[in-house]
Amino acid sequence: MGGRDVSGHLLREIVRQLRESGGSGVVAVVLVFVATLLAGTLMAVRSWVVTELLSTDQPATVTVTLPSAAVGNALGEELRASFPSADAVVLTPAEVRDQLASWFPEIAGALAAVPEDGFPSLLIVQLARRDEESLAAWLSQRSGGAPASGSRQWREPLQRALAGALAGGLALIFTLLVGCGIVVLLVVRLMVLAHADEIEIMRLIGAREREIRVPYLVSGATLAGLGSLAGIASLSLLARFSGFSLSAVHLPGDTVLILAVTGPVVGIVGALCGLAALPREP
Amino acid sequence: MILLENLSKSYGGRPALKGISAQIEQGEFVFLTGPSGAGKSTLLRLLYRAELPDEGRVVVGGTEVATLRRSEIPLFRRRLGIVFQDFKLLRRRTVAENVTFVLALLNVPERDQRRRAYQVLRQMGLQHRLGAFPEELSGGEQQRVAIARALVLQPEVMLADEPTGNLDPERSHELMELFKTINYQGTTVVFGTHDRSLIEAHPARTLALERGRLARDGWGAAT
Repeated sequence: MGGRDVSGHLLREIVRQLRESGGSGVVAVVLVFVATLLAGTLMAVRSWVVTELLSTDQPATVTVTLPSAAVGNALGEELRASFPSADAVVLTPAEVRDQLASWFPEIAGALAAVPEDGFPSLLIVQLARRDEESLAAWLSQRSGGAPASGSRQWREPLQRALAGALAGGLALIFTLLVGCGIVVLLVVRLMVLAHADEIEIMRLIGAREREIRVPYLVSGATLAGLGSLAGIASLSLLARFSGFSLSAVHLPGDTVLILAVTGPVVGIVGALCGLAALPREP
Repeated sequence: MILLENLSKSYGGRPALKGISAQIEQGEFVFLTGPSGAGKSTLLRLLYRAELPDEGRVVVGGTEVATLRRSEIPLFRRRLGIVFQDFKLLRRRTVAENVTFVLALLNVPERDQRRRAYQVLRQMGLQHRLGAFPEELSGGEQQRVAIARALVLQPEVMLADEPTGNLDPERSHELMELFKTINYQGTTVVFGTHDRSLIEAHPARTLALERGRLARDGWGAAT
């Protein structure tokens, strides 16, 4: 229907159709709601992991165990010469013990009872992530120190895990959205069959095909759109009540837009398929 | 105004109309009569392009009906007022919505829709039933709503297919008076009925069909 003068009829018809969709309509809303919630959470987590853990802009920390602090000092000097931007600190066994005690004050007493030579000397290097690989190669050519930990050790598994989680999550989201599309298709098809006599009357009194079909498309889009909106609202509330804002958990605006648009698009596609049952004028 | 030329229609090889030719002038009131199965409804359906003829021509208000493109059919039907025996009201919509629906299709402003619906429903004596749903109305009231819906667009032609078929004799004659009033206002009326008493009480030009053929084109009921 075109223009604001049909909007009253269109609106009332859509409200009637939404009411008629009943429990099946609620199922469609819930499916998109869950898909949106899942997609939003997945995207937020992915965005956080990429920004905070996998970003090459963040400095990497490499910890090297040493036979003694003296070896560490020499290695540190050499390292600063080769990697001028690196920040290298040598911790003596006593400093390592104190550091551990400050991190875990509950076991500070127990740590104090451990003799000093029970702790290693450590060389802690902070440098740009892009230089981490060169540092590893540099260290491997020198004796006296072995990297105990570095982000390289967990970055690749984390990337693999993230990719796996994304693939699994997207498959689940896709399944939920297809489910919603099928529910909308069935809802619209049932309504079209139930309204067959009315549709025939509308044609007889001069309604065009688009004037007959548009309310069903809008109803399908509304059902799925309600799920999207509820999902986005829940994500927003979740972020607020957990003490973060959406931007803090890295749910960017374009992701929100995609989430908001996906539901209605799925609804329209489902409704279009449902409307295929509508016979045309001879 | 309405031209039927050698019109034939059959269903599955069984002829429903055979070689019908007639002309109806603008502003005429014409009864289309005949026993059940004579072809009255088929002829009317050809007039409002719910069916296509196997042979012949149908011209309504200068429009060659059989050659209309699918997209042109709704616009053509908006020029007609069609009334059916079974009323064909939109049962999920109120009386007012049934009447304003066709106005909304024409983008008539909402305020005008309400005003025109009220006027035409008042003419039908139904101004107090605007918010009622069809199932809450009597048969006579439903038929008057259907007529109001057909009238609200001020059509050039009114096609009525057994509009009194579900009404008692008293209501039928009331409705007949209504159609005559509509006709006096300049609308061409083609009134399909098998009710001989109605034609006798309100004589007018009568096209009588029998087994799909035009058996008579004359004034009033045949003796």
